[in-house]
Amino acid sequence: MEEKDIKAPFPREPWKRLLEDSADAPPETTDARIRANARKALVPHGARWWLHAGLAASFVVAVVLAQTMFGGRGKGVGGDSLIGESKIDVSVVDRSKAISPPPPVAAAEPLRREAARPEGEAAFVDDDYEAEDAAGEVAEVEATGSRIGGPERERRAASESPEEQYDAAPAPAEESKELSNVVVTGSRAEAAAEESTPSAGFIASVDHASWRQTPEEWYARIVALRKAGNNTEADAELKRFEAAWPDWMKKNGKPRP
Amino acid sequence: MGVGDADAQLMLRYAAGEARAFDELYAAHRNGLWRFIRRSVRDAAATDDVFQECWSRVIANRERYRPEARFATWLYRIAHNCCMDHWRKSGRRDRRESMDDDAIAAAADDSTAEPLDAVLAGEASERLAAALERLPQDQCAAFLLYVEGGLSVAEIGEATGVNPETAKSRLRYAVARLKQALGDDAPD
Repeated sequence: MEEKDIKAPFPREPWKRLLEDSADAPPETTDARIRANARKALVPHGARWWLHAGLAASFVVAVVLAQTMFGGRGKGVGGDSLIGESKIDVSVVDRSKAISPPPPVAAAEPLRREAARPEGEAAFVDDDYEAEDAAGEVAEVEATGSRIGGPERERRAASESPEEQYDAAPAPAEESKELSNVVVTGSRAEAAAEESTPSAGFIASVDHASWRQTPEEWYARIVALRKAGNNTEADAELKRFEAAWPDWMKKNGKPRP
Repeated sequence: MGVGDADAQLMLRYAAGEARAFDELYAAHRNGLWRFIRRSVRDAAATDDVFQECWSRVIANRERYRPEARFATWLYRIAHNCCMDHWRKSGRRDRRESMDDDAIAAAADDSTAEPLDAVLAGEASERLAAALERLPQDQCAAFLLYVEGGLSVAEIGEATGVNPETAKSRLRYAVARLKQALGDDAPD
């Protein structure tokens, strides 16, 4: 095969002129579409920042909505809505002042629980209380300014640091009573964390039970529990009662229920 | 044929992000490529689809383009592949495509064969168009690549996947048949 034949076996132009005369051309819409595609292809992917930004914004909105919808649930009766948005102080408070009317916010929780709880569920409350008491720690979460405690506690609190009281092991009746009166309040986050376990706030609500505020009512309650055959609960209450009022039964001539 | 021909430079500029370079490139090859596809596909409705598909592949492969050969060679190779894909999808293969080249040549040389009366009745361009439709697909493609695309015999062989000898043979047979169809109106 000759080089000339390989490159140009016959002249192109005459044939091309014939073809040009007979053929049509692409429609203008096709031209526009192809040119548009050519320009669109040149747009760098990085320039489509709004896609990523939109995705991120959607995610943030979804998280916020989820927190709004489910954030307040699962915190039990009288959660943050009762405590309010005020900052919670960390302090040691004396239960001896519990005789004074509790503040409205702190008092509302136990009252609501007592009202909503059937009588048969009292054991549940006391079991929690007992578990906490056995550990030698009684914590209480309350709103700012709430102070509850007994007279013995007030005297001891003046000579003991909060840490010492909090870390003290269970001991003789006097000491045990005082420790049971120690109230440790924490931050709002700590209070929220404690709500998943037998919580300080929950125990505090038990301590506000009206029948524990006077030894007569407390004693009557123990007697009632014993009569009802709820000996476990009665024993626990009696133990607690004796710790709080060690000589009351002796002084008043009451038999040990 | 320079490696760095003007079209290749336009393509490189377009690949670098210059949209106007594509406009120039498109304007230069728009009509020729359309005719090539129109004659190859032989289907007016499908021509537009194949034409757009061809340019879409050019656009998609712009960054892979290397000016190792003329731009037209690269473009018409893509166009030929698009036509092949169209034939495969449509399942329509010209029966004459399977005919032996020698048999076709014999038919072209045989004056008693099909008289092409219908072809001869029209203008030369129309007769040429009609004659192209009668050509076997491989010969038609070789002829159109040579005339419209400006490809050499070697480039036609490369684009269609055959050796230069086969490409030249197809081209020769195609011209013989077209000359017969055009009679005295056929170019020299």
